[in-house]
Amino acid sequence: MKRLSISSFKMKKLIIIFLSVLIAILVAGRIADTCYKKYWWPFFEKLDVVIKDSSYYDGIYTGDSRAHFGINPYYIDSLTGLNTYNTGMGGATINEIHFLSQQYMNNHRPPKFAVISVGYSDILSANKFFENPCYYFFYSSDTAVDNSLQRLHYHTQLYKVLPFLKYTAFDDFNKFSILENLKGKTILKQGGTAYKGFINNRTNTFNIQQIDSYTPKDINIDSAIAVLKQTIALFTSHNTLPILVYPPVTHSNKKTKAPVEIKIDAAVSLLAGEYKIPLLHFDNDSDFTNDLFTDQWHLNLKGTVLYSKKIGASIKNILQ
Amino acid sequence: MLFNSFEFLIFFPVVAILFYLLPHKARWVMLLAASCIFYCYFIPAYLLILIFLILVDYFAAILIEQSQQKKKWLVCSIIANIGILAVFKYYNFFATNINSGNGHLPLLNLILPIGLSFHTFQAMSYTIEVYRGNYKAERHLGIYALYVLFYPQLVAGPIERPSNILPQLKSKIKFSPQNLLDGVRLMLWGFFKKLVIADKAAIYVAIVYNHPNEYHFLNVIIAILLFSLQIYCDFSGYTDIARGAARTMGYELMINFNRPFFSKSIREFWRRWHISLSSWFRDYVYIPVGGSKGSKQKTVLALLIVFALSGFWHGAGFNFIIWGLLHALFVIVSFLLFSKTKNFGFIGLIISNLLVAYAFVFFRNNSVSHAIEIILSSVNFSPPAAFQYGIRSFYDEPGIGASSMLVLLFLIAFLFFYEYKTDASLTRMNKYMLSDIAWFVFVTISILFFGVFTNETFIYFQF
Repeated sequence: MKRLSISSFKMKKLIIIFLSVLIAILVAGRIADTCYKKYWWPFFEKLDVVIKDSSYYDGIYTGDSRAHFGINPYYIDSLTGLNTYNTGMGGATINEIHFLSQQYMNNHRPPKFAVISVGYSDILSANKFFENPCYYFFYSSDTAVDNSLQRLHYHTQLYKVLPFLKYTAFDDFNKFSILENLKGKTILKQGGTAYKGFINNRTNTFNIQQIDSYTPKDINIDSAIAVLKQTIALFTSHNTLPILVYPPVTHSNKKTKAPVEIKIDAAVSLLAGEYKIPLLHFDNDSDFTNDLFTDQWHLNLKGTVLYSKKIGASIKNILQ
Repeated sequence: MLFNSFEFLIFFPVVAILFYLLPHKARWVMLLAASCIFYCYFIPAYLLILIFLILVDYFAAILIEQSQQKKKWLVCSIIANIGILAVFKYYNFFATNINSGNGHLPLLNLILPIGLSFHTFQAMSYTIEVYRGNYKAERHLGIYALYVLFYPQLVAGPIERPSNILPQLKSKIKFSPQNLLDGVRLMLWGFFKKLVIADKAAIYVAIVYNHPNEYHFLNVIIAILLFSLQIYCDFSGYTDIARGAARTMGYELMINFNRPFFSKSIREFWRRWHISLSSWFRDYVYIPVGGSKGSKQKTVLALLIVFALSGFWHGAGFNFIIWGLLHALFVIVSFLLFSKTKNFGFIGLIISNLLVAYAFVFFRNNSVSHAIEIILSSVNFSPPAAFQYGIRSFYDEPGIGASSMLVLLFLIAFLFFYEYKTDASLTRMNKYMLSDIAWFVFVTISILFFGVFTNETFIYFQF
């Protein structure tokens, strides 16, 4: 019987092809990782602070995109003399907000205060954990991150062996940011600002015609409110003062509230009362005119200056 | 189990390694068990249907061979197979149409067993071949069960013939690096077609097909062509993965697609598209009804029957029947006007691809009126209302940018280039090892980076 030998040409070819593909995947993984991190550098800088770093901050801001792209610590720090950091994350659900808060509290000395930005969408999307898990794949060496991703059925063990495989879980938007970085671009556009977890590129003004008439469904919010309560309890248990904040909305958006939004408002007020913590409403502040918004929900750069200053003034009052 | 699932990523190498580790005598047991596990990932209870059909056809074939009443046992086998198909696939269609008149037939709340049309046709080909004396009835129940259940081709073909696969299932196979390389190459190419082209094209197609009136006619034409490509890449991608998975274990499944988009006529297209089904209908319907040797009228009638049946095989819906009849029309016109060997060149290639693509519009839409709406939108040269306010194109849709479209076009060009350069087996090696390495690297990285990994099911699973 002819024995199969490793020296046979076909066997050699098989091994060479296998090794070449393996090396190519490893190299491609390294290049893609570098480009992705470079493109999204302000996001990674933030997650490094939250998950890896242990520096002390007097205060943090947590929430979704309206915190992330709305609260600039520069103006607050200038006004209060404190050293604060924005841990908000665009698209974050209430679960992700809680997760990031937990991570921060595990890795840092407790801050004096924590601003929790309240968004209806965070509460209403509580059926999800990470809206965009892509950044978190880079932190799977952290047990909490790894466990969360595995619970969402991501094969993080496999991604650790062959990092390029994680891109199979990326959407086009994230994948193509790698190609964008190869062209030298990053998420911070010309004219934009990034500072201590805050980022905003938008200088355009909201066009009233773009208004979204979407009305959220009246779903059960009990579990989402329970997560919000856990977040508040997490801070209070470390003697950190939670401050609940409703961010500004466009005037044109002040339509009649949907029943579920009224329910959320009531639940949030109840929590503020229960924990005796400040509840700030910027959503009915008439200073936030349409020209300060980039879309229905988000402030443009000019708007973020006013919002940050107003939050800074409120914090100063509260802490006095 | 889907080929494009994480489970298969574990399942496939485990089965392949076990296959070579086990002695020849034990391999069929392992393959049969693996095939059952593979099928049970869908609806486990439906394995019972397969077991029932396996037993019926196994004994029917032996009785056909031994008994004087061969025809009776063949009819029994065919009734069992068609009966199962009729109950699960066609009953509700007939009942609904009868009820729309004056009938009061109850509707069955049944889910169609995955790939039912494939394994029933494969089983029928076995008993018919035994009846015709072309193949001896298999006495080994386990081997026969494996013929029906063999996991690579279990749910979407190719619809194998006993003379091709049964002897292979019994033969002793040694490990060969060439088989492994060819198998992996085929599988990668299948995944490339499915995950990179078909599932990506599906996104664009769905956007336009859902609201054809809101799109510029060029967008609709692109969507129609893309769906044609989508279904090719989806189905032939499955076949390539199936053939590749079998090849890694040394089994050679039949070629099911021979690069059909290079056909220069509609008749050539049918010699290259879903070959295992076309040849099934040719051997068991077209020739028996006199299509090959009769008069012109008989051939036309045979073609009409075959294509109507082919449409109906795909699904119980008028859209599938129309799709089949449209192809019957194309082939009959071609048969009546031109000789079989007439070469239409590049013009023929363009025309046949356009005819195929437009016929596929019916294939995708259960509603015939919606299919007609799409076709009309593709020839509505006056801009739709939405167009007045700016071109609603793919590029406007969130998450789908111009870059994504350009990458897809580049990868489609690569698909055509490779299929043009290779042969029907899709396993022809490159002359130089370096170009082979480049091929493996490019295809693997394209799959991992540009593939859609959302476990999209294969279109032909529904049949």
